[in-house]
Amino acid sequence: CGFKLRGQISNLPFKSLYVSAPAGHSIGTDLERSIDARTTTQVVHKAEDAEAILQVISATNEKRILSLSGGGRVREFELIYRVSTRLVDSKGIELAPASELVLMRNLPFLDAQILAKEAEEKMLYKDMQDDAVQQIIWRLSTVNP
Amino acid sequence: LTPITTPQKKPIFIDADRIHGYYKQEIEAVGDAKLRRGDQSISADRMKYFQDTEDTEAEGHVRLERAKDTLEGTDLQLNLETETGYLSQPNYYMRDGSGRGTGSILLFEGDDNYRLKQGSYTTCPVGNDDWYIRADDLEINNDEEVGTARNVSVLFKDVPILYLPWMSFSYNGKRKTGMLAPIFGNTARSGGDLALPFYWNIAPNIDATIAPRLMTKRGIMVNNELRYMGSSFMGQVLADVLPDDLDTNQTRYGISFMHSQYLGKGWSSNLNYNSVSDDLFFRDLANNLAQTSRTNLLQQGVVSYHGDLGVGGVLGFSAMVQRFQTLQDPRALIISPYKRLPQLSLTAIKRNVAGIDFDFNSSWTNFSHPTLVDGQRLTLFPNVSVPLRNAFGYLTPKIGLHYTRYNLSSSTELRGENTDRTIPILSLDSGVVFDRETALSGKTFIQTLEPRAFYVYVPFKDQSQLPNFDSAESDFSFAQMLTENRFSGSDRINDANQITLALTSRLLEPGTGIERLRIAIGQQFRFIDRDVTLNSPQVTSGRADFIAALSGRLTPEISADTNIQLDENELRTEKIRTGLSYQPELGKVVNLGYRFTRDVLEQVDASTQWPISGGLHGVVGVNYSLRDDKILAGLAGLEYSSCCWALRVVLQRLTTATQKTSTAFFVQLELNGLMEIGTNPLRVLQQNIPGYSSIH
Repeated sequence: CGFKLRGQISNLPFKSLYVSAPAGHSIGTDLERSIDARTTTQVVHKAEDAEAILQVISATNEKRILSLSGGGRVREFELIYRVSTRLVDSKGIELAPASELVLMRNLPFLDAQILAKEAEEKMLYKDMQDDAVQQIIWRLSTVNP
Repeated sequence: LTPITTPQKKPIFIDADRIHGYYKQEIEAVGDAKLRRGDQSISADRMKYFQDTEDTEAEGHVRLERAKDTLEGTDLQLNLETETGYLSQPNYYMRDGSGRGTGSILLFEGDDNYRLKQGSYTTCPVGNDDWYIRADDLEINNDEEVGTARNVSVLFKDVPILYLPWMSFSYNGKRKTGMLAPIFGNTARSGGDLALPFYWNIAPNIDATIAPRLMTKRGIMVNNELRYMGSSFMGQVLADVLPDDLDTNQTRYGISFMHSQYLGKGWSSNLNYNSVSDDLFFRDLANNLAQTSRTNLLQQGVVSYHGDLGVGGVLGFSAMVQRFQTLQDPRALIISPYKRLPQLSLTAIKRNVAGIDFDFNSSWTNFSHPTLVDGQRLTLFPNVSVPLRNAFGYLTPKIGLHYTRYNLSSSTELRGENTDRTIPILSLDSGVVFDRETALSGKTFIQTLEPRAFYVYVPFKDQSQLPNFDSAESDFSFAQMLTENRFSGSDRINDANQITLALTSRLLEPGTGIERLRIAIGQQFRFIDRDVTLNSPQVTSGRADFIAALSGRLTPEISADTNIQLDENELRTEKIRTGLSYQPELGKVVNLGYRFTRDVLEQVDASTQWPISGGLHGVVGVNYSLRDDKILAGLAGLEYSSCCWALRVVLQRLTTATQKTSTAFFVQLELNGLMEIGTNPLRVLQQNIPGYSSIH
């Protein structure tokens, strides 16, 4: 019914890309790895060598109380992952303006299981980061340089 | 037009019906007189200008147009060089509309500074005197855009509502050292509540707020907050002290210290220390859910490293010490969590070594607990995957070996010896992506179709004798069903022989690639009965195996986020999360939510911010538990916004512990550009009404 195999997102509209991300944050390496594996664009490690620069302006985690128990304890958190990115060329001219992605997941919670829930929280943030990386690549593939 | 140029002085232009004077002495201009010098101009019925001294005298309909303001009055004496003098019966208007006022006399004090005697100030537009301040002495510094007032009354609708001996305000919105507006409120547990915060702008990157707070039922508390920031670090210290609680006769305090620092070369550190004097500290003294619901206060320090391991490689290391202060609810006691003193973790990833990916996860932890079995645990989980890709999709076989070794404390009778566990974990992940162009209500979208299959095999290993330091069953979700272990933590590894099939379809905007809507379904087919279990209290339903979800925007105004989980064997609904938001414009939002987890919770949420008439908005938020048959949290309020002020009245009710509630009443009057009087309910509103936007 009109669906075509896409397979790899394959062709981003630039040959080489440099990723700049907040120091110490894993989204930079995640993006590099994914672009490297899934597209024909070459990830370079010097901004000067790149046709385009993907700037991760910020990537933050937030937590909101979603459900309470009858005793006023938290039974569910809403985890919110926000990442905002911008694409510029090697001269700093904007190819795609800053845009924000917001992802949310539910984390059922029990105070007595706080250590286990910490690991589950990490897994959900990782899942959102993977999701965000995929969506950022989709967005990159539609840029008209 | 008479240009007069004097060396080193700005040229003066004078224009009037009649001009006469003496060369190099004085000029008199009568009838519609205008004087212009640089970016300043003076007009009046008549004026005199003295060339030698640059003194100006003007009378009748005097009007000064200057770079940042306009001044009007009856008589003016002004030296154009030193900018000193006076203006009688003055009216002043800031150029950008940020303020205006009057006085009995205006004294020019040079350097863009002036002072008003019996002055007034408001940010309301001309013709509207909804609020203003009256001060014996009002100093306006146009250079720094700040005002300082002495003997101040704040009048709202001509009624004095506040008196302050001294106040300082900034009409460009920058915060500056000085008294902030008082905060008052009322709570059932602490009585009337009045705080007088003092803001101290210590340096551009450090500030502090010190607020003595008087509570009629408890006494005087001091709230302190210090914030600081640098290029590679930031932090915050909160310290609240109530030296002698009139109700409990105890000293009560709460401390929070957060500091994060980037150490360079991939290393960073983080300290988060929280402590309070007693279990009831937040429930008695705080009025927001984020605080009253706190049970385990984190006390933790972490040093971590995130770096490269060559091309396609990542190396991560962290060292953490962590413990908690557990605040107990006497009617619902919980077992306090284990302390981790310390936990060392090392992860290494190396991609694409001859087409093979290598992962290594490991940790060593010393778990400590006052009453439960404690000891050290080492886990090693090396795994190898071979991602196979072609133009159609991917197939990733993965094999790993999970090794765990316990060294339990000898004081416990049953164990007291080393135990280890080795489990192989096999998985096969595969997926394909299709896409097509599709039209929906006249707009074209890219629609994707992404089937995925994930198979896991993990043999059964009896783990019932192992301690449980940090494991619990994870909630069933799309993220969880595509992982190998349904338990989080490392004390339990599930037995599995199952395949998960998932299908996701997304609508993407063609020009931007932005995801508008996502529909997904997934089902887990288990070929064995699961024997590894954990008998601990649950907040998740462990039986679900089918999941369907829809999230995104149905129309530009309506967004939905829905997720349903079923137990396919018994055709039973295990979990529902559904939310619907209608937001036609800013300040207009309706949210409805329903949440159900079998045997755990069933709740409905409803919240709205909606205009009633004119500048009046209503705000309502309710969280109702069908299981407990009561409102767990609720608020209702009104907001009125006019051009230069806003009033918010909010009543909030919270459940703080079993059979305990707290009611708080917030009133806030925001006078634009001057102050906010009362307790700011904005955070409470944002927490309770998703999509809430300040109407002011």
